[in-house]
Formats: sequence, C-alpha cells, structure tokens
Amino acid sequence: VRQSEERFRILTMQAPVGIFLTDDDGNCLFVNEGWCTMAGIRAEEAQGQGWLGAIHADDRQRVSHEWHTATQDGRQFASEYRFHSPEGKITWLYGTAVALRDDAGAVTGFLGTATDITERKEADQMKSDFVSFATHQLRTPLAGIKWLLELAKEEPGISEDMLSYIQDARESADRLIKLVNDLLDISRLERGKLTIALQAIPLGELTRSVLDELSPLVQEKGHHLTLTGTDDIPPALVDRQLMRQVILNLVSNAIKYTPAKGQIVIEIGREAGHLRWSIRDSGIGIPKEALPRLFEKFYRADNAQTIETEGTGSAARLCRWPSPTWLDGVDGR
Amino acid sequence: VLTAVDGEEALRLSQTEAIDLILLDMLMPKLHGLDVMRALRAEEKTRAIPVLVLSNSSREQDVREIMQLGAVGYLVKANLSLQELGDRVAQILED
Repeated sequence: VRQSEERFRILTMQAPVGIFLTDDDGNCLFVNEGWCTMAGIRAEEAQGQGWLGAIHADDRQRVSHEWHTATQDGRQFASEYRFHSPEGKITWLYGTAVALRDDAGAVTGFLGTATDITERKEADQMKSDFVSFATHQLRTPLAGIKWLLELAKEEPGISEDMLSYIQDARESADRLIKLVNDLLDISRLERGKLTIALQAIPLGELTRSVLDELSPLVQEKGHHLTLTGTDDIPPALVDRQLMRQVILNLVSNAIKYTPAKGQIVIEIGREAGHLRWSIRDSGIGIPKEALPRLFEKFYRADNAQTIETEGTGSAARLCRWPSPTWLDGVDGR
Repeated sequence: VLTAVDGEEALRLSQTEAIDLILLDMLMPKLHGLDVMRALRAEEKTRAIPVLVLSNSSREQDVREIMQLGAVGYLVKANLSLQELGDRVAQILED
C-alpha cells in the first residue's frame, strides 16, 4: 500500500494538470504543484475557501452555480473558466470534479482536475475575430454588386437575354451573401454575443411560418411534406429568433439533401415531460460514423460533399445550442 | 439628395442645409457612425432629423447603441435591395 501511495504522490506532483481535493463543503484540502502554477498561488493559500479566490471574479458565480447543480444532480462537474493570478495573469481552464462518497453513498468530498486551455482559447478567439472581420469586408463589395445589378436591370431597352444574365448574376450574389451571413452567425455565437430572449412560443405556428417561407423550395423539388401533432401542444419556452433559425436550418437541409419528389415528415409531440420536434426525410441520411462530428463547426458528412449543393456546414452547429438536438435511427435519417 | 464622403462632412452639411432624412453608414473615414449620431443628437438643429443606418458591419453592441440614440432603423446593406431601401425611405418621409 505504501508503495502504491508513493507512486500516486509522485504522479500527482509530476502531472501537468492541476489536481485538487476538497471536503464535502468545498473547503480545499489539497492542491498539487500543477494547480498552484496555473492559479499563481501557493498550496497553503489555497486551503479552506482560499482556492476559490484563484477563479476569475467574472466566472466565480457561474462556476459555483454549475458546480452545485452538477453535484445535486449527481453528475460530474465540467466547465471552462479562468484563473486570475495575483500577478494579473489570466489562464483559461477546462475543469472537472467528481463527488467522493462513503459506503453509505453520502458525499465526503470532491476530487477534481484543471487543464490549461489558454492556447486553444486564444486560437479560437483569433479565428472568430478573423471570420467576423472577413465577413464585413466581404459584404461591402457584395452589396455593391447586388445594387448595381439591380440598377442594370432597370435600364430601358435591354434584351431578354441580357435580363436573364443579370437575373442569374443577382441570384449568385444573393447566394454568396447568404453564405457570408451564415459565417457571421457562427462567429457571433462563439463570441458569446448572441443574446437569448426566452418566450412562450407555439412550436406548431412557428414551424408553419417557416414552412410558408420555404414552400417555393418544396414545390420546386416536388417534395411531399407533412406536419403533424401541432394541436394540443403547450407552448415552448424558447428564443423565437434562434428557434426559428434552428427549424429553418433543419427543414431547408431536408429539402436540399432529399432527391426530388421525396418525403419529409415533421412531427411535434410530448415525450416524458418534454416537447419533441422531429424531422425525417427520404434523403441520403447521415452515415453513422459522421454522427459524433455532426455538431462541429463547418462539418459536412462525406456523402453530403458529393451532392451538388451549397452549404457551410452551419446548420447543425446552430442547432446544438442552447439545447441539445438529438439524432437517432438507422443511418441517422 | 446630398452626399457626404465622411462623417465630418455629414455634420457640416447637417448644419447648413435643411435635411429631411439622413442615411448613415457606420464605418466611415474620420468619424464613426456612432459619433456622428451623438453629434447630431446633441445639436438643437439636427436633433429631430430621422436617421436610418445603412451598414455592412453588424456588431451587436453598435446596433444596440445607435438604436438607443434614436435611429429609426438599422439595415445591413448586403441584405437589402434598392427597392426595399426606396420603400423604407418613402415610408419614413411619409410619417
């Protein structure tokens, strides 16, 4: 036992991650060297409630709330937050914690880790800043093209052919603008600037309004689209704008990736105290191996890349947040 | 219709001319749209002129701020057709 203890002691000391141990009230009993390096305080200073002082003031309340809800629900705590050292150094962390229990199942303390993710965070930030800058820069000349084409169309005496060229050019400009706008939405989402306003919204009505907007596309491809279960459903507490975007993304993807004259079925129903909004289509489906990556930014499954259509791979990403979107079924249709 | 090449010229024109409606960009040489808006609101002569913002920048914070300063609308140029812009302008001038 002593040998095993000694090994663990050395392992804890050498580990590049921060490790901490607290009692059941969250008073710190132990932190390793890695933790002290990231937090910028000594192990003695971390004792008791001292370790909470290492957490950035702006994150403290959120972390504490997440910690409490996780432990109350008996889940593992996992979150991203910052340390703010006395010297003013900011370190981004991915922190986890699990409850330790005695034989009777009572919580005796918590054991947790903290991994330095500062570099990743900085890279993410740079990427987001770039996307946001690039979208603004791209939109300016695109608006110019779009408006001048609109003026060109109004010129008197232009031929039918010329008119159709201008029309095609305008549609292309509009498609490009839409792609750029999709990129902008992604970058905003990442910077946490997207504000959410929760309201009680009837999902059936919201879905119908999206379908109205998309009906020309449905007709164009000759799909058969049905919507069921809209009656007798209580309103959902959601952000109208975001929920609308989620539904729009899911439905327009179904339209886009289903070969002409396909079937698209949307069902709304209750399930174990929740509302369930589901969509199924007779399209190519999503390969099983692509499912874990589905919510990644810009990810498009291999079989989607062989289809001739445009997409930034943003649809599912927007769907993931703030509430989970579930996928199931064979081939993930 | 008068055009100003930057924010400073816009403010100069707003003092010397009788203006019914201002179409304002955000990212301009010399003065940012927000600064122009603040200056317009600070002057007695220009305080009540309706301002419609047209920009390809859509920083949420800027949008919120300029709307709070009393802009009648914030339109992203790339998402707008001239037809829609014309309709909007006519509607504001009617009111």
